Amino acid sequence: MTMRLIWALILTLATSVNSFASLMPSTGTPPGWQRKGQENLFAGAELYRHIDGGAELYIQFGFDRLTVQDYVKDGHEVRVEIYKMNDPPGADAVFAKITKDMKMQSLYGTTCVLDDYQILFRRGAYCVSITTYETGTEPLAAMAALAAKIDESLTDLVS
Amino acid sequence: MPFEAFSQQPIPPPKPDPLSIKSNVHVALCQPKTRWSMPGFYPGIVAEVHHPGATEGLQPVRGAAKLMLAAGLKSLTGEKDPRNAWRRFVTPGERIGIKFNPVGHKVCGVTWDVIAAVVEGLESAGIPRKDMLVWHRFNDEHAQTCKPESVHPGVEAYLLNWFIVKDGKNTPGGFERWDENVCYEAEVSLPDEQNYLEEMFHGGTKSYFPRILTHSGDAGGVDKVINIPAFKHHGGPFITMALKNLAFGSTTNCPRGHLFSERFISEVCAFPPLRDKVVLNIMDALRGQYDRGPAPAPQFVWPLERLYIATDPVAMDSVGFEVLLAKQVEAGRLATDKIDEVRKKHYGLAVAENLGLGIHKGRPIEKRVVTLD
Repeated sequence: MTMRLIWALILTLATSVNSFASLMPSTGTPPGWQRKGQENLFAGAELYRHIDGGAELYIQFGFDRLTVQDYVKDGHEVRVEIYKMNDPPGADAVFAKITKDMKMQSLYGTTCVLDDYQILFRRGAYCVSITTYETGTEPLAAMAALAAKIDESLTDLVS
Repeated sequence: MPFEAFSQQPIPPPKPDPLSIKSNVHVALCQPKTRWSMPGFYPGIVAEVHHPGATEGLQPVRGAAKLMLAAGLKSLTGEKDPRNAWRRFVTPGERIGIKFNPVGHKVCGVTWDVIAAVVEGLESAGIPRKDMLVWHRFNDEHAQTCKPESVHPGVEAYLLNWFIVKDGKNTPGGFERWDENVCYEAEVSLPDEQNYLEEMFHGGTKSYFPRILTHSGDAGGVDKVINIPAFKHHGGPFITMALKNLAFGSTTNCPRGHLFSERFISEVCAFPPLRDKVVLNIMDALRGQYDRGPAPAPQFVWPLERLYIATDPVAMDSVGFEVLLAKQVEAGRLATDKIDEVRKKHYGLAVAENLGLGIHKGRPIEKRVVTLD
């Protein structure tokens, strides 16, 4: 009985890690865009290494893990960050903080914020940030495609 | 679906009252100052160089930073030749440390152009590149900002800590680079589960200084430090400029400092390794981030097209604080009737002034504005 429980736990953890990793769209989504470098995973307290000075906000509300991937095409670059909190209220609290006084929309996730540089949205225990460092139609279109793809995967995952 | 807050949002742990925390800052205050100690040769003076057109699409225009730095140094020191201005702060034979803010490099961190201008300026004053050292706390920061040694060949890139994956585990390194004889201690520590990394150096109530700052150049350390902060908002202490770049970039176990940043930042800077070695602050304000820092948020970045130069980090941060505050009001991110509330809440610069690190409100700050065509 004990062994069964242990195996069940291991399987649950493995499934959880795999499903998290597969949230990041592969090369070719959107067409012509490629992954640049490795996907970086930060678990628990390692978040500090990614946002030096900004990790506290996430950790205080129950941060679980983060995956980061850059996408490039013809000199354009977009960064995707998917934060998983321990539970939806934690994600909600973080999202409310980082989008304070910004106009909420409903295009992606259960709620989102859009502007010329960033798409931020939340679904379940996940907060997603997609950022470009320039203005322009190509990065904006790529950001929209990435957001749609990730949101689709998240919908499957949290439902 | 409109945004609706969950009713069961977790409540963050209460922060301690910074004013009630006991610390060992008295140990620092007992150490005699030197002629180089903060606030340095020009207390209460900040040179502000504005160069309209210094950026294009939020990226620096080639050559602008060098011109701006030269103009700012001349204004600050009164020297006609920028080489002579540099020589007021550094002497050939010394080993010079450079601390820049790498967070948000592409969007809002310090630009390569400003670092390059500093390296060239030091060279013009007779400091060879082999006697310059750029330090980072983590290898991740280092990797994120590319490699200074490839951008500025010959300048040593020095990591205070690093991580390697060994036998499938994250393995920290660099413990020997910290000096266990010199620490800032304050009775605030993070719970074990929040003690960020092994490399944060056994958590607890102590924050150690690196050996490169506690030792002189001929003993493997540096003799002087040039501080290059970025002009940026921070959700905690409101600004992350000169003092914060030093305090958080030079100590172990610093995440706890965000719980009492009003004291942590200033008190760490009051210790001799920083107080007596940081001779010049050059703030990269080619662009500024006025909200949602310190993580890069491009929608809140604007082309400020300025450099701020001072020996007095408190005066520099005081000027930066007000510029950022004004920008928040202008952008509609802060109501005018909340300005005083923000000033009162973030009293860290008053703490720094009380510790003798520079001028905040004690007397008017002299801003020397230079505008380049």
